[in-house]
Amino acid sequence: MAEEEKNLTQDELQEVAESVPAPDEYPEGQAEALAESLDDPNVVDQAAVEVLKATEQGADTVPMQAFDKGVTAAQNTIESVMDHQGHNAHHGETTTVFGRTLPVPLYTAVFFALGALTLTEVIIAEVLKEASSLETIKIIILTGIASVKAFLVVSIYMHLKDDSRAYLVAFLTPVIMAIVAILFLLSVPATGGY
Amino acid sequence: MAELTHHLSAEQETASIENQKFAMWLYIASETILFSIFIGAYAVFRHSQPEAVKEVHHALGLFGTLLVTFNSFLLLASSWAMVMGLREIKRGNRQGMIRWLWAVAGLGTVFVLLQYVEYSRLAEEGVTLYFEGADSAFAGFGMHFYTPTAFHGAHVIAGVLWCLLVIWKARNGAYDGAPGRNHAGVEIFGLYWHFVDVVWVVLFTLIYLV
Repeated sequence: MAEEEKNLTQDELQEVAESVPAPDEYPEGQAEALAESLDDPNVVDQAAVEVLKATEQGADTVPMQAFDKGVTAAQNTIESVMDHQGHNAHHGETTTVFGRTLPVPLYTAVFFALGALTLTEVIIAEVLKEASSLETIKIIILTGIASVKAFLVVSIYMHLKDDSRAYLVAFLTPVIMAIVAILFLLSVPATGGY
Repeated sequence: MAELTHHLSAEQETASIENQKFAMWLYIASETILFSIFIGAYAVFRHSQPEAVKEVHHALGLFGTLLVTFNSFLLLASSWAMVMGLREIKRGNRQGMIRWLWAVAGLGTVFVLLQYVEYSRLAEEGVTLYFEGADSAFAGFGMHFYTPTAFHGAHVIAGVLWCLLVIWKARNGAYDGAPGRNHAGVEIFGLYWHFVDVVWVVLFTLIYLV
């Protein structure tokens, strides 16, 4: 799931940020290089060389330095906005799922998904209630759906998708240990009832 | 110099918040182990005594299944309300957050009340906490069922009380959406509440559907 508003804004900002070189990285000596490369410069070529020379000479003047600072500040602002949007990716009012834009925030879309998955679980459980031969398949399907639901809550509602990896390790370690331990227990042959 | 001091304290505050969140995740990890013990015990029981589980499902009936399903929706809705409340405080809307948190507390309370209704119904059917008797069709089910669900219910009650505390603090001016991120208390409570929801997602499927 991704939010269209966020992607569009980020794409536009990325384009602007990339199109403007950092002022302190602007190459020098272009006027001289251009003049040397021209064997028989015409009036337009000469004008271009003069414009470049004037630009380079003016680069160290106070107005140009102020302009440099302005551009740098704008670039920093763009980067800051992009970081902010990346961190708060769940705050938009629309959600795009499989190419379709839903008029609800991501959190609400996840809630609808959780509700739909729960209903699906109950229907499958009721339909296959008496089908003893399909019990293993039923258990696998229901466990799979429950895992998807848990994943949605943990990754999106608990922000584990965006937060520190340390949180992920702290949470997943006992979960994996528990799953392995339970599967090991289930593999032990039953020795009788109660 | 004053600006530098302010900058450092802001960094320290951010580090403190990250530490609090990490501590919450470690607490959740320990709770995961606790619930895993109950879940593992139930899974082994379900594996070795499938007939007893089927009998309980029959006793619960369609009404019971619908009741528990509805209860699951309530908890999922409360988790949604929680994250929407956090969204509001991150936008600086404290009143909006308080409204969502009232919904969290209300839905959690109804969940516990309906769990009580379900327990009463099961008890009437003969599903009790202690050994039901060797010849009982439900033999052994009660202890494996009530332990994880009641332990979870206790967590919901604790969560509702914590939620009311967060609401009370918010009404007294705590938390806002300022850059200092002093809404960390809401975020940490949210982690707890969502974890309680995740546990129920697993218990619901394992105990009532499988």
